Amino acid sequence: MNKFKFIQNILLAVVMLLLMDPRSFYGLGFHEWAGLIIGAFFILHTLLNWSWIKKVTLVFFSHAPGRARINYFLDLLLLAGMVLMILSGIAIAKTIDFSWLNLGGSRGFWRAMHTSSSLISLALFGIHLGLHWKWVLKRLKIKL
Amino acid sequence: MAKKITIGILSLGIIITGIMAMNRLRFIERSMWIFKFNNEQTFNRGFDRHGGNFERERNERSREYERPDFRNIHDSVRQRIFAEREFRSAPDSLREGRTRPLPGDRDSFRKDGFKRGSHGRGGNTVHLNTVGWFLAVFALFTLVTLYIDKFITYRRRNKTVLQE
Repeated sequence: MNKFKFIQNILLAVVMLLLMDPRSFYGLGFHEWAGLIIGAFFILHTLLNWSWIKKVTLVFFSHAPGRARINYFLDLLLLAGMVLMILSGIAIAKTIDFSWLNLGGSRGFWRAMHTSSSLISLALFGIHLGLHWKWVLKRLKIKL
Repeated sequence: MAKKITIGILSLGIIITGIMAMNRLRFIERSMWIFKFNNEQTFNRGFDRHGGNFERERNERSREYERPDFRNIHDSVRQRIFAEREFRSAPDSLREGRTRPLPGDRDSFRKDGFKRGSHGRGGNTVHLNTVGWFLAVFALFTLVTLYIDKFITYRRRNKTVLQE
């Protein structure tokens, strides 16, 4: 399971970086479809770590360790960032038609939202990886 | 010791590249867009790419600088400009028969972009330069978190040892 998680996390990081610039990798079509797919993989990542989420949620205000609280808070911010990123991406999509969703708001607002949420999320992903670096090293040692 | 020096140099490299990337991508400025967003603001196409409303800036600049009327240019200068344009639009051996569009000939660029199947943005190509800069920012945040985490752990350990 850990090996699967590790490979999935590497793929998430690589695709996330490729999605940061819509013109870099096979254009807007790839950007929009891969953006939607990465959203699904993000949900899978959350489900794979559900036991930890459940455990910390139950003890968050009583006796959760400080580190777990920081991780939990950061993950909540990441969740908000991902939701905003996907929602704004849907609102400004050009190759996939989401007009039937009628999200409202000006295109400019959604574009600003998409850019800001994606950049802030990238920074949060970096912090998330930094806090789980020991786990990454552990996995790499097993692999090597 | 050699390992520590190598890690130190690598970390310094990541930090410098990360800061450069943040400046280049206008990371902080663009991250704050949504908090500064004004609904009446007009969003032009260029806003997203250059971290500022550059079309508006360009219009302001063009108002300051009036372009001289082409008809008032001396005949010899006008002929030279035409000759240069013809030369630039002619195919050459390096471009293998392709002609470079004249400046301002945006339609041909757009057609090319759409032909490449990307709504004029990117196409079926891979240019990972920008992605590299984003990777540098990502690595910077990871590294800074890692060192802050190490510092906090080190301080806590020291405190515990002192208390004992």
